[in-house]
Amino acid sequence: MIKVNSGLIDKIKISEDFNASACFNCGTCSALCPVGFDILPRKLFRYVLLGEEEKILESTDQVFSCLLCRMCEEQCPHEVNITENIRLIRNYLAKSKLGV
Amino acid sequence: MSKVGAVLGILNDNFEKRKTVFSVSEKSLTSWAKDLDIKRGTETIIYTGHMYQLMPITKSATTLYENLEDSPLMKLAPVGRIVNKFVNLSSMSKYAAKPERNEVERSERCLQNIYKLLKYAGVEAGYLYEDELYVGTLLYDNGIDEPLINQAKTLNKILKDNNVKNIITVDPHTTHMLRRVYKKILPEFNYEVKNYIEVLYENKIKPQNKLDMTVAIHDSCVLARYEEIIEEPRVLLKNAGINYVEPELSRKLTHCCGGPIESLFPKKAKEIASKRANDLLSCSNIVTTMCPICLLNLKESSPSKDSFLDLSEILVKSYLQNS
Ligand code: SF4
Ligand code: SF4
Repeated sequence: MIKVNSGLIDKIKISEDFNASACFNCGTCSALCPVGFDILPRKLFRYVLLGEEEKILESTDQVFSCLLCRMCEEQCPHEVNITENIRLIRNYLAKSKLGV
Repeated sequence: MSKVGAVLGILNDNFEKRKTVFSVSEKSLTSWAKDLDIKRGTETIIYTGHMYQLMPITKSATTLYENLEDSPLMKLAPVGRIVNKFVNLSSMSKYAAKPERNEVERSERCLQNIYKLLKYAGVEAGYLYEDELYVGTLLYDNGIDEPLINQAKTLNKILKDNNVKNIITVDPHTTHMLRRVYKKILPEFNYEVKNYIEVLYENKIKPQNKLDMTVAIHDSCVLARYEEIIEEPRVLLKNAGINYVEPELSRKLTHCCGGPIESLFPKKAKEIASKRANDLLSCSNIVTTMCPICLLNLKESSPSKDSFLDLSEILVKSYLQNS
């Protein structure tokens, strides 16, 4: 059973730059990712949009292993701010879950 | 507490207490400028952001972390955070991870090169010496932006007190933080920020001799994709007579050096770096980087360490040395 937290998006979307909902799940972003991200940005963004907090927590190591290199953004056809979205997810995790 | 949380906690605690993430002496941050007779402050300043100076320390610390990553000791990382609050853990690590003398001298030389190139371009830049602050890239990238607001305010005051108007940065990360991030978190942070590569290019510096060499270019992600500084280094190299070659992934599609995750996942960082280093070395046996993090990571992950040169090390040979 997946626990859904409907308020999660408000905690993560602390800035207008967070635009995960612009992602339409095409997967182009992962083609040249140097990390070979197995939790593709699109999957991560779905978790956020659906409020699947536990799934995001399970993905902590992957969220923090993104290089913020913007290779993905260079190719995203929908101008998703992938790296800033990931940075804001980190902000949420650091503040609310990792005790930083 | 997870390892990620513990490491980030230590960085954050250090930043709150000491305004920086690693413990380095004031002297080692400013000693590059010792014999250059640089004025304090002034309207235009060179801003090192500590990145070149930190690389020798990062190198020794990364080797240490790497050995620790799979060891039972790493399980103690959460304890490290608690201990760090009372004892200066990062300064203790100095004893375990001593920077090599030649690495320290090389970093200092890169900064001296950049300063001398700017001077040759007709730019009289001052320097803030020990008043200069680390801009917090490592925290910001990891989503910890709140403590940065205070840092931005403090730096803003220092810059105002020194009547600074123009800032010339030497590494891509500091360029990006001061040019965009600080402006975003503190609207009154309003300075003209340029990377030294842009300044040399705009001032149309003339080489004193042409070099006959082939060099592969490694663009920094931040310089190429965040700051769109792509043509400038190419023009400087071309004018120096250099035949530059590009790996398959270059310019806007440059491949990351892996450096940004080296403090959290050193093994993964090294894997990425060695893949990139191989791609570059298949183009030429000399590679130029434009960021101290790229230089360190690519060099350390490759058996041919002497192949990697900072852009400033190549430029001085043509622009500042009479043949
Ligand atoms: S390329 Fe852009 S739109 Fe496509 S999945 Fe990735 S983030 Fe979403
Ligand atoms: S920014 Fe992150 S997700 Fe995007 S390509 Fe780079 S490492 Fe992969």
